[in-house]
Amino acid sequence: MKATEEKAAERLLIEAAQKDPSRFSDLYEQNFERVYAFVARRIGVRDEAEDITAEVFYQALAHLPRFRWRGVPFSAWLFRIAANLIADRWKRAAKEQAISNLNNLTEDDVEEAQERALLFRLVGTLPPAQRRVIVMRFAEQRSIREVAQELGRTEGAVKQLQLRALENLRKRMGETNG
Amino acid sequence: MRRMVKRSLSEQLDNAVEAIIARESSARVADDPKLAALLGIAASLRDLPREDFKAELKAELERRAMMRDKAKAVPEGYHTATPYLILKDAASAIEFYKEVFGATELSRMEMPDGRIGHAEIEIGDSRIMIADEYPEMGIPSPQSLGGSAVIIHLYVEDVDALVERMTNAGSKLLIPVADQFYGDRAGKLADPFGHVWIIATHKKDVSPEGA
Repeated sequence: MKATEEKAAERLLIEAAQKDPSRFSDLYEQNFERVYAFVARRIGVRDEAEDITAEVFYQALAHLPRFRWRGVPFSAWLFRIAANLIADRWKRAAKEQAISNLNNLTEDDVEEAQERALLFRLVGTLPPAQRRVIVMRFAEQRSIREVAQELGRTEGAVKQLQLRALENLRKRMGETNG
Repeated sequence: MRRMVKRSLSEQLDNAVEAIIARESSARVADDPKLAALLGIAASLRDLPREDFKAELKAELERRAMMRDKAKAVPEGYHTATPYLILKDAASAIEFYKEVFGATELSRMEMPDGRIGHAEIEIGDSRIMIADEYPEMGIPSPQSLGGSAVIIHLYVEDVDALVERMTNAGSKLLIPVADQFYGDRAGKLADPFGHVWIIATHKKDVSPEGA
């Protein structure tokens, strides 16, 4: 889709959600991975990254009626909310330099989050067994032995699945970006 | 042979993945360029969100969205505009409005000094908010002001009967009841507390052109 068409489609989604908050889930589906990628990159602890990601969407839902569409992507607004929440958390930890970087989000920051969001979405397109291995290994942080037990396969087979999954993801990332 | 090499690559990869997941500083050091590329992917996947988290957050957002829907901006029972009458002796005024208009008292909040901070009555299908005057806070009644600049317009079934009840109860007739060119039969009064009312019954529809 061309950029202008994407913008127009996103605008329609925003306006629909402003009229009917139950439509907010469409915006959520579109933006979840990139917000999570942005937050997780800066907050290493999974529980905290989840808390902040949830708070970003709670605030977005609460303030949506006041959102005015000005041609910038909806995700830019979400990144701004996320950056503020992360800065709040860092203030308590006195990470001044990091906060100043957050206040000046660059295109690279946004690009990086988009890239990883794309990778997270591509995990969903893997063959089922490969997908399960990646999810259990990385999102659920389970050991090869646990994954093998759960899937009823040998540890060697799980490692092979992990290898093929990563190869597939690298190939698909190359195709999507290429 | 190829199978052996493949297996060894998967072993090497898993050792490195283990280090990445554990966030060890030695992670991602690989001489083999193919392995290095895969480890780049693995490093990004370290932050792969939990599927349960994504689903639970979506459910919570849907619940909150529904709550937003339920909490209407204009609450049940109210119209967009509601008159808010400030009175000297609001308690007596509420009794007066009950008697002459057949108003229903919906709520009353008394302040520690006995004045009414906020009360609501309903006349017909419309709510009216009421409070005692607080001149010390810049909230005076018509009696303190020496007049009112606002008129409350009421449509009722029988204008003549109501205006008679009002005058009998001490209201001052400002304009006697008469048929008006715009199709209403109406009169104007000031109640004993200084608020001004136009009481009307709509008699016939008149188009703007014919008016």
